[in-house]
Amino acid sequence: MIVLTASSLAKRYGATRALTDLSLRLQSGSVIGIAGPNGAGKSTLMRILCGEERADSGEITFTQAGSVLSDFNVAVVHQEPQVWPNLTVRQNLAVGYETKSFGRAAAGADADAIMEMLDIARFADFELADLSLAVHQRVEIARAMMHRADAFLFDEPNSALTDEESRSLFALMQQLAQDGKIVLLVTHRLNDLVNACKRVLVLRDGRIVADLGENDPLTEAAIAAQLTSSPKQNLQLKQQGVDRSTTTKPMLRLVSCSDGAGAFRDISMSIAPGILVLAGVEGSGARELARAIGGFATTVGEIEGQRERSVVYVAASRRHTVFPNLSVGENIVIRLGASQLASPSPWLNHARIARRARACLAKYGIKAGDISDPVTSLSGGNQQKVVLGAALEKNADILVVEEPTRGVDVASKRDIYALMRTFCQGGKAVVLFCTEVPEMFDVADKIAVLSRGSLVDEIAVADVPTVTDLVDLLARYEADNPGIVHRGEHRASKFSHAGKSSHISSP
Amino acid sequence: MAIGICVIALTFGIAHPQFFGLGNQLTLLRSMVSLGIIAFAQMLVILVGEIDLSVGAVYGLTAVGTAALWLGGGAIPVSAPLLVALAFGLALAALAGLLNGFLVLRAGLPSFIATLGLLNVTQGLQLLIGNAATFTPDYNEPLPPEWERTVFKLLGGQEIGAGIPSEIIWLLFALILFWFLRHRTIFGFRLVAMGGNPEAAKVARLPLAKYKYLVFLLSSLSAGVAGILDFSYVGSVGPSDAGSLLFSVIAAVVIGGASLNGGRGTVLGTLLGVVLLSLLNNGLALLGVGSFAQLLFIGIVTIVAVWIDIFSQRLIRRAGHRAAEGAEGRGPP
Repeated sequence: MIVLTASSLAKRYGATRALTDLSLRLQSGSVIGIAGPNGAGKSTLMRILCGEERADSGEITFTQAGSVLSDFNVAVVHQEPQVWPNLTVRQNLAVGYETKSFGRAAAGADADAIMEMLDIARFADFELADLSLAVHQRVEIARAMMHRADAFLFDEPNSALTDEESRSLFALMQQLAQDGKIVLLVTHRLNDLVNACKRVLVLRDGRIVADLGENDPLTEAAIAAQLTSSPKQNLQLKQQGVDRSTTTKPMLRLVSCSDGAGAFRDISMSIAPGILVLAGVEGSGARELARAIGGFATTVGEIEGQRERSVVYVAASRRHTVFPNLSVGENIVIRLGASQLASPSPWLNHARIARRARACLAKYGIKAGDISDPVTSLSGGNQQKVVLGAALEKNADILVVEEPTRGVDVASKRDIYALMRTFCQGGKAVVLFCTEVPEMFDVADKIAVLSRGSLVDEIAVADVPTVTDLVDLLARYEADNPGIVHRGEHRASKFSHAGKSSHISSP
Repeated sequence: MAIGICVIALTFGIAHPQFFGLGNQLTLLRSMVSLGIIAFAQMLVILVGEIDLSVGAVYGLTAVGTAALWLGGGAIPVSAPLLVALAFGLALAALAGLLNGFLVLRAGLPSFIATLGLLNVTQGLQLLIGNAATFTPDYNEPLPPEWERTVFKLLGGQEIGAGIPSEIIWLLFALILFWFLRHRTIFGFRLVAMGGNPEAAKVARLPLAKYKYLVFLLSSLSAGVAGILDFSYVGSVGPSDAGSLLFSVIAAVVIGGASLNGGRGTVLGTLLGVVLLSLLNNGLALLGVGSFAQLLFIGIVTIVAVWIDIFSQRLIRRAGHRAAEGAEGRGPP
């Protein structure tokens, strides 16, 4: 058994303390989870453990059977696998571990066995650019195994995998743990932590605040309780909701709209004030419909009222929404026009911009030192709030958002949905594409369900008593439309699992 | 691409009977020497995701530096034996390579800027050293010793039978050397990896800086060697234009299928690029098209060749995706 001991690690970046006096003891044998809200210091801890960065103080030791190991390897499996798309799987395994200096680059003798074990042997001579993300990830794991790593750190490994791929990844992690490796899993998904781990450490503000699972049973509720700094502030979004009756005058009306690229067909519906969730698995057309309403796709058919109403659209990936080269303040005001930024026109009025940006920090609950900080210095959740704030500042009639809570911690999720709810109270509409059923249940007024490109139902959430009922309902629509695409099916099963997944209003 | 070259060659052959004559073929082959040697090394630079714009200027500086020191003249007040002069010329080239490496890897300049700056520095230095003079060993005053002139001619200008100049041996040598480096050594393999995903290369702790230094050094040295060889073949050297050679080199590498984003590039592809460009130059000159129209043709061919390459890459990618999906279809990985 290998034991990793870290004692009083500390690390600070400028004025921010990323880690403060953090000590932990990890032993091999089972998967250990690490949870924590954004900005809690998870990434810093990972970087220090694998040697990419040095701690300011404190030390890390590996011991095996009582004796201290002088030589140990820690491998990271990144959220975005660090591999080579222009090389084949076999060549990827060889990079850095080439067996000879001349001749064709070849991986070590154990490469074949490892590829066999990871079930990627049949891709050995394919270039990675042609293979799925799941294979990329396995290639990175294989590289770690070739390197005879003693510890494997998995950083949000399944954020982009299908359910089936995730399951086999977790099985692999269990196997590594049983083979006597230290296996660490960092993730936001509480149900993954519960399913995969025997023990979960909760990190907050640079220290470990809870060590769950040793003595008491591990539950999502227990983790969630530790994650949220102040559980009593739990916003009851529902109660704050506007009048949920659908009699209000529609703001937009879609009349038999079809997607230019064929993702959805012949959809007629109206969009009233309040939060409308478009539900549907990948490939159902729900995502594309959101984009079409946002004005970012060519549609055939008519959208009544589109000319009179202003619409802002927020894409799913922060790569498409954040300007990494700009400051927090500049990101907030980036969508504003000349009348708000310039006075006298056309000259930028920096004082006015700064005032506005500062006001937004408070208004949208963005945790940032100052508006001049680079936006990349913020945690993921706070960046998302900046993006949303920038969109809300446009003061449009309709806000279209794709997966605003992807990779965001529970507390930020709540803040983000609260912002949307406040926006709606002014008689405006939010159109939300979302895949997490518990979140839909908590936040939506109405859910439009899409399947295979058609609108199959519109559910008034007030009529659905519990989240389990909603899960069943949505699962039934998926079951009625079997045999979609290969990948679609994996996604479909996500719905039935999601019932157990992170519920944003913790008990 | 090979087919395209054959078609163009045949067209020239039909249009002008002398095109396939031994004399012209040798001229064609000879004209590929310096372009080829420099392009092979440039391909390695582009493979790691950098670029070296200084090669054309280094080519000129090395030749003029060698000549000025050997023959005495220009801005250098002393003269030295041939071997010392050659060493001096190559040292200048090596220095340029190391400086490129330093600026890119230590100072952190983008290679485009660093080597563009060095292009001007070396070009200026060449003009300063050469003082705009033309150096001709055979008519120099004082005349260098007989053996030195023989040895120097042996480098590039000497016929080795059947009218083949010795320069061609160097092209063959460079072809084999760079092919081996690129396709049969860890060095070449890791260059591909570094160019394909520099982040992953960092995570894998590959010696990025060391290899890039080496690549810049190789590039400058190749340009230097090519400069000396052409000096030897032509028999004289004067102020030269750094730009046109540079553009041909980069065009050849890119036509040869290398990606300016890094991670892609082969020696044989580059050779084909070199052949295509030299063929066009030679054939069009033979047909008497005139250098203005020649430029126009070469520009068009470069664009079309790269376009075709991108298109065929897309086809290959698509076929690869399908094959991979077929393999994945056999069960979840």
